[in-house]
Amino acid sequence: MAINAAKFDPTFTEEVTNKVKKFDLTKCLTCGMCTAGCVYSDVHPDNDPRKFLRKIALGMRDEVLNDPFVWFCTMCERCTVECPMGINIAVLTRTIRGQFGLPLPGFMQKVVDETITSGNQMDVSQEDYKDTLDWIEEDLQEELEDPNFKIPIDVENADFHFGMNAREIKYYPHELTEIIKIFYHAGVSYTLSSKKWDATNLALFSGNNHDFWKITKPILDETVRLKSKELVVTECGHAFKSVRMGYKEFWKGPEFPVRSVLELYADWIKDGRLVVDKSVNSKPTTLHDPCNLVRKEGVYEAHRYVMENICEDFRDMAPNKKYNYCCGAGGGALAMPEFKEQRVKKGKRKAEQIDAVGAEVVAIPCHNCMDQFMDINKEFYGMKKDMTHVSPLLSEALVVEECARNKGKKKEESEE
Amino acid sequence: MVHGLWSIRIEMGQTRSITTKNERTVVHMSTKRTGSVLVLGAGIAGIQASLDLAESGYYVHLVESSPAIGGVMPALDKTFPTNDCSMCILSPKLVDCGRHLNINVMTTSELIDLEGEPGNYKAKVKTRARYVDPAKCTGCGSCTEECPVKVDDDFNQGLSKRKAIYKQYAQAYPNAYAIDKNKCLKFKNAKACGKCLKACQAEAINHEMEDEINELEVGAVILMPGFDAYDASKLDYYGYGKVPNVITSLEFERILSASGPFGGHLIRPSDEKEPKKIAWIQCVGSRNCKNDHGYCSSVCCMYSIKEAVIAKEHSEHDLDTAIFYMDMRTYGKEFEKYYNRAQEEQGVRFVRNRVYELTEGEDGSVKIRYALEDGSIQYEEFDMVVLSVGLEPKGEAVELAKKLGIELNQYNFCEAKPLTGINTNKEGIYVAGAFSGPRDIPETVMQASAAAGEAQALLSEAKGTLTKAKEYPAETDVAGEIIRTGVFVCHCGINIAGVVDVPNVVDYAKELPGVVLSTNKIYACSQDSSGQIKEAIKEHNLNRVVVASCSPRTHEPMFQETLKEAGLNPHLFELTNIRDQCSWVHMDEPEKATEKAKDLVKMAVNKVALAKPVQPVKLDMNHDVLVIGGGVSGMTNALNLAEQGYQVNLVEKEQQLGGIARRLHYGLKGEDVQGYLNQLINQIEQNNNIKVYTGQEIADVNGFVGNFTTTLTDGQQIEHGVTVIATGSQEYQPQEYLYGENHRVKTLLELETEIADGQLDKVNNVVLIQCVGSRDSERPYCSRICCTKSIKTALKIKERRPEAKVYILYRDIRTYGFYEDLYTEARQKGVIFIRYSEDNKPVVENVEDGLRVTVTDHVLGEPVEIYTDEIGLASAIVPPVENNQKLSKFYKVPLNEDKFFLEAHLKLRPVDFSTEGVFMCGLSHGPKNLEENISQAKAAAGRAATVLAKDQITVEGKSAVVDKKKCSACGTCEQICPAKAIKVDEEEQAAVVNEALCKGCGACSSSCRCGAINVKGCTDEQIMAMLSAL
Repeated sequence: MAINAAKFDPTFTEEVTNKVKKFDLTKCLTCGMCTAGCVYSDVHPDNDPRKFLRKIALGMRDEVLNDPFVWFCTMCERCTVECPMGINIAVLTRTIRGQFGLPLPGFMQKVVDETITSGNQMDVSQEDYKDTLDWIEEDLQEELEDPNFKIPIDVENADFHFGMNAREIKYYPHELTEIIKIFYHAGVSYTLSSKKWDATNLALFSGNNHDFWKITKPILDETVRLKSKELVVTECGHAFKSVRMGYKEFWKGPEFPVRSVLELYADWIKDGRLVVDKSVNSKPTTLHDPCNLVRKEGVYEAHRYVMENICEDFRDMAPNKKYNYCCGAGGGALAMPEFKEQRVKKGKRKAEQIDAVGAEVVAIPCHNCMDQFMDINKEFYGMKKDMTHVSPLLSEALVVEECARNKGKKKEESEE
Repeated sequence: MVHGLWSIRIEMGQTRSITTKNERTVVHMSTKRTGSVLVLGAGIAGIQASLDLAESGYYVHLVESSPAIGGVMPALDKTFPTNDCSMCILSPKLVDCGRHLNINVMTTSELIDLEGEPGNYKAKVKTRARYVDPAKCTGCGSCTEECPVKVDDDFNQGLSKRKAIYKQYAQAYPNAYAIDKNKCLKFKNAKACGKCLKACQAEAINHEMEDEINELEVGAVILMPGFDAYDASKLDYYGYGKVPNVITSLEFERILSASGPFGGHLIRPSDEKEPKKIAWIQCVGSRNCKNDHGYCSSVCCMYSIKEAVIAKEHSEHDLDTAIFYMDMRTYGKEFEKYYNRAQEEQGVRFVRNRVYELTEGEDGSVKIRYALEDGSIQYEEFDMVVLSVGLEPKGEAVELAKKLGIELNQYNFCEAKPLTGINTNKEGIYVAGAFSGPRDIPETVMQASAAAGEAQALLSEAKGTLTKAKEYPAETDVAGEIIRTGVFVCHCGINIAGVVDVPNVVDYAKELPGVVLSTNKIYACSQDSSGQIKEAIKEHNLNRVVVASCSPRTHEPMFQETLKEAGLNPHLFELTNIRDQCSWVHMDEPEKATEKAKDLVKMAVNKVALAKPVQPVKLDMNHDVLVIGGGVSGMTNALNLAEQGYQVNLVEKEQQLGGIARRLHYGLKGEDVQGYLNQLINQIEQNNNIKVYTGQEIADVNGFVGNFTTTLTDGQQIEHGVTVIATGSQEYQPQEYLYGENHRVKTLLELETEIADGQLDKVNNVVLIQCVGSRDSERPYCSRICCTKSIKTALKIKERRPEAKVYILYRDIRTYGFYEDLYTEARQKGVIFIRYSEDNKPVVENVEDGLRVTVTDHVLGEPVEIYTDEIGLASAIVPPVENNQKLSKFYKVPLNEDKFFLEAHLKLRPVDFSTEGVFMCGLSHGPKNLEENISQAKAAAGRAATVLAKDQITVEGKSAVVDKKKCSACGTCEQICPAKAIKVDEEEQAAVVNEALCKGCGACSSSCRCGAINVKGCTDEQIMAMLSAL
């Protein structure tokens, strides 16, 4: 069936262009650099960014809105990070998803709605949150042999306000324990919030800016209320990206830095607050670069620096940093179970990267990516690989006594 | 050395004036304008402009920042589309420029300030200390052998090392070394080294030398500082500097070059392995809006094809080559054929995809993952990847331009003012070459001559006030002398010596009859070699000279000049080609090649022994001009020559002036073409030096350079010294796409008129189809301007009716240079571009609802049906074949296969014919836009002036001679002579030769049944001597 050019609707192209002014899609040369750059364009059908872009440029409204690409795209931005015309497919995908009234697949909208209502994406109640922290605090008092240990909550004027991923409360309290332990050994001043503590935001993927801002604004407000010097986000790519994006595009309040906890880890190792012994992590280990942390937000070196210092056999995968592959589950793919087949197919390419570097341990500084890596582990490795966040590896490598000694020194310095 | 007013020397940071006005200054103060020009930049543009000006009566200061003239060309291997060796075609010009009496070459120099007004500028030129006196340095190279400091050789793109004391390249002019101050040990510690001082016999080295500032009086300035190559490491995804075996195109040129770091052996620099598979990545630093290089660099498509073709030739095994591109921009003259040949005959692969990244593979290979147009993904590994880096303006040039108040465009190029070709915003300051926008060598040369032409028009009243004439020593009379032949065998670097055993040939020649000297030269064409040949002539009393090197076509005049300078008649010389006809074609058989070289030398020695002096014939020069064609090109040319003070006859076949431009309304940069045209016609009509003949064609032509008589159709006769052909071209009348059947199908020019008349102001759908009658089997050339023209038309329609849908159906969008910005703008304004392939052309049909075009979308792979109101066909530019054939016969100038006029050399003589005194410009040369035609018209004026400025015409004199006793007056020669130079004299009953007309081709001689005709310098006797030598 031939396409009737009469149906090309320039107002559609214009509408999209107006919504993504920064990245003028009409400049597209149809050069195919994006098709070649998307490592998943040949993994399953309907995943060619150039074809998607072409339909928008031609004004093919119905075809665009019904294009499975809209949901298959992981919004990882690899395809267009170097687009010579400065086009951004991730932003386009997000715009089509959220600003043209499309119904969201899977349970993406449900999570968004629940996050708006409960303040966190896991729908954890405030009681459960409090209980979990109490339990961690007790555990740590014992482990650290410090009966006075307290998790700082709503402490004003701290150096940083720490934003979490709700999964850390609901499913990974032991990991949160490790993070808090690291903070303790580094001797840093921080606070958690009692009110808005989850930094994640699935509206980053649903594309609805109204929802998006409803979810992210409160955590920025909390940083101001608590008078923290900066907002630091846990090992979660999309949480980090959401906060940064909210801050850059919508925030009108006072200025403060937004950083990833990995950047702080790197600083603390550099300045000696954290003393580490890499021999404890001796297995061949590689590192994934979450798109939202690395390619999209430019954190290239911090997590790498940490890994090089805490692993005896660190092997960078190829390609890495800006050009690393998406885990295959970006763009909220985990909230769209109907597309699991496509997601797992993408995961194979990630597995090939792990194989090529011969790693037994994979460090994944992102909760979203982590779930995908767990599936990769199941599908391709019979659960034989060790998939972990960076914090547990770091915690493992800490030379606690020396940290304590340095902590004393730092204290003296600051008193001087 | 410096011809200026004052020479100021900087000492201890203070300036003071030390010399006074010289005699010459007084002379030119008496005229209103200064008869000298400052040419900034000594690349091919600077050299060409300098030669044109100096030959036309103007003194030139050629200011070059590096230690040698030549620019980029010496570093290139072969050049497209002729595959000529770049250095070989440049070398004669370098020598001509270097030794020209009226060109003051100032190397290691830069223009630092300019004051004054058009016609009278004061230019401040700073000459950095070279630390070697070029007047004393012999270029022997002893210093560089002793120098202990090795540094990256910029000339070889850092692929090899040079010393801290160095010469840029072997044939450099001046043939003198220079010291790299930042690297020389002696500058760090005065006691540290000094080895070069000991080595230099000529005492040319002086570490105490200081920078100098000179103030020069000049009438005009031409800016041609050239370009910088884009720094490929800025695009980290291509891994330049990180992934081994990813190199730049300039590095690849040096790898291919016989004078390069690997002697022309095709290897990869990282491990010196021979690659079996090479890829080229196009648009590296071009067509990239993200890094402010939105323009097209214009030359990369062609140079990449050339590199691929030459690489295949260099490779011993079957080399696999692939070029990754977006649009193949082979828009220049003879380019499309070159592209077709590369694809069809030489097997170069062309892959349409902008490559995303280059990653390291096994064994130093480079991996590419690429997408075909259907979206399918391919993986390939290459042994080596070449990045086709784009052109950008030089930083220093940009700074200078800003200081002088010269306007630059958004990319910092000094784009010429619309419809001037070469003017900047300041009168008297012109721009040419890549600084005015990315362009190739022929266009650069064209602009250079155009700038020279424009400067000449400005300064015509001061012509000849500052120039000197060359005087040769009196010619030695060799009559009756015993033959004393000198033989010089050239290595041509490794071009010859890499195959032929040169010392063996030299020894062999020593034993040949009459030979008293036989020696070798590394480069016989270099400045030092010609000096040595002159000395040898004196020292050994040589009366015959043989050079065994390369082609007489490029090098004979240069060597003959050397003989003249030594007081020998230039025809006592023989050049035998042991390179093109020996070492290059027999490179796999060195022993046989050496034997052949010996034979060639032996033949030349035998021939030269019988050579006799030939005296040139001098004839009066008619200084009037005939310009054929009253379009924009012809008028621009006529106007320039008239402004230079020459009488111009302008002949136009129509009743009105204007040519095809009368059908144009919108210039590519938005100019009002009709307004411009009327103004131009007005200027022509007002100019007293121009006589216009309308409604006339050429009926007959007699004569030759300096003495033409042209008869018009009405019988009027015009006597003139120079002819300029500017007869233009026509719009192809399409046979396809229902043209002529459906009135809604029009050509672009027809459509343009309708737009101007407001007839398209309510149109809803317009389809423009590209390559109608171009790039097909009948007309394999690209019509060059249609893509840009169509885009401009589309934008015009959009301007007048924004809601109209405009579709452009194309094969490759060829918006070269800054026209790429128009392409970008059109996409942004909603013009839809759909690419079709030659085997799947759009289909135009009359259907019930009107006119329907069906074309397959190149991305979606599905047919698109467009119901349209109008169709514009980008129909080809075609030459008026019969007219061109007629003029071709009249003026003895050739046409190419496409029936456009064919220039003397596609690369370096773009407006000249090999027939002297005849020039061309405009569409008669080939498809070009208005801007380019104007530039070319001025170039033809600049070139014509070099002939018109002469008081007399000198004909070489190698004419046919008739032995009246043997002649039977049969008349065969008269019939056969293509130059109409021989006639049977009825009274004498013998053929008589007009020496001025005779080209010495020998057609009469070989057809003469009586053996009565011989050609001077190539007699039967000489030919027999050559044959019997074998």
